[in-house]
Amino acid sequence: MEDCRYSLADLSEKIKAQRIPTYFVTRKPCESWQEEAINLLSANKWIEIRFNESLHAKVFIATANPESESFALFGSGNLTGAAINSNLEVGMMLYAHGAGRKLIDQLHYWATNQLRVLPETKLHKPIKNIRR
Amino acid sequence: MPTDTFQSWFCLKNHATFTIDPKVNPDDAKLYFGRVQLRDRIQKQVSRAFIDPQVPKMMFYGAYGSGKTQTLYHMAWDMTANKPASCKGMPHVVHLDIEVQSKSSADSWHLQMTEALEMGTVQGWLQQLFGSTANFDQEVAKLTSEANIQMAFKQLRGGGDLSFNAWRWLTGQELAARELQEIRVTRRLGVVGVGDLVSAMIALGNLARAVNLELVFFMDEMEGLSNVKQGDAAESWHDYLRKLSDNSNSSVGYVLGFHAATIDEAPRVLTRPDITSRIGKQNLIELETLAAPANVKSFIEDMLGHLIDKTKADALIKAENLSSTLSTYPFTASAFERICDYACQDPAKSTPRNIIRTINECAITAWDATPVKKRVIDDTIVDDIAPVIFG
Repeated sequence: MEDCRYSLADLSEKIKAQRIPTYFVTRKPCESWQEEAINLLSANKWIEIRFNESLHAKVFIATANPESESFALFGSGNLTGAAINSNLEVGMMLYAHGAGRKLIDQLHYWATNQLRVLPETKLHKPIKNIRR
Repeated sequence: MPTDTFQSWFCLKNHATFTIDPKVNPDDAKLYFGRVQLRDRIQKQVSRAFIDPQVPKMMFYGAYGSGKTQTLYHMAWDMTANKPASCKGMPHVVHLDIEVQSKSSADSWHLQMTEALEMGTVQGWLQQLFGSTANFDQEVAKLTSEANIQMAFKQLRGGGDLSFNAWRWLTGQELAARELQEIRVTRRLGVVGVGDLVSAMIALGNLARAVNLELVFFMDEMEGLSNVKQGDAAESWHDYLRKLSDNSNSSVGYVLGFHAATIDEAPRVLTRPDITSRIGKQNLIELETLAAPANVKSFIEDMLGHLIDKTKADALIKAENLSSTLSTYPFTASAFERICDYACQDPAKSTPRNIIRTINECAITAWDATPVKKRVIDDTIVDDIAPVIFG
């Protein structure tokens, strides 16, 4: 994501600065740049990393207090520079209003509970800070 | 051999994890852990409310995580599943999270309430009333003295485009002059003030009662009212609530939830004396944090009692000679005491949300343990997780 407006390092810094507990579930890295990305995120104590080899979903969920400020993005794009800059991708942004609210609740529950404890989801690096 | 799931590993009865969320899993509404006195108090007040003023009018406030949403959902479930003897009809509960923008006025509140109630529901009630009487017009006239509202009800029952516009009119939306003419109403609902909107809402409550239902709205996140910056807009919310709180409304119940660590943080339009004196101060209820060790203990025991399949847990404890007890499983007795201690260290953080989250995260840590998953949550795990949530 080096060519992007915000790099992965920027994202990690924001997570750290704003103390945002973050759950990151992905496949095991195969390429060196993926390894690099995982190492970068692993250094952040606010991030939990899990690997699931069956995972194909690209979902990004941000939940907030108040809940009405939550949002989610899902679609075809990975969290990569190519997805953001050059690939032809589709995505849908959900805001926590009306029906969007229920979908975000469901996605949040799935990502923070069910996905994390699937037998095939393996913990790579635990989170060390959980804000109340 | 089948792969263990998180649910089977911890002998959970009907839950995939230890998380409780009635918005995602509607069955979770039946759960309410600990807080026995509060639960009794709410039940008594609801029971009394169905006698006078005939519907509940209550407000709950507390810090984030204090259990407002769970309280609202549980109240609604309890009201329906264990209908108080004082409640004549069957409660018809409607949940909604109120959305408020800086310029939102009571029109928006009325719109959100009616849309959450749903056009199809009201149409069904009108159809039911139509089928039960020889003189429908006369029955509609009993619901409201307002000729325009009577006409909108009649048009709504009829179906088709007119019905749709009649519903839009009842929700307070603006209609073109031609549309108003087609549904035969003389003006837009609410154009002369908030009283118009409340009259329509009360008529909907009367309609519900005419088909043996009691209409009760459960509205969460009312703290959003603090966002309303324009004086007139804020006043319109206040007027709407004041009229709903008044004794003249005996057919539309409401239970409001809002975030406020203390009553001073509450949106003023909700807690002015003319509102609280109408609903009675006993119906403005603070959801305190659990704070005291006995409260925390009974909360966790109650939670584990509801979530864990005790027969399976008992067999597992015996078969694998686990260092746990039936009342504390999946915690060891010592870890159970420790989590209670952590939860009581800072009363402000001793919330149901934090406790449930700690239990869930402890269980996930035991599940993640390598080289083998842990069957029980021990002191080490609690010491690892609890301080970062309660610390």
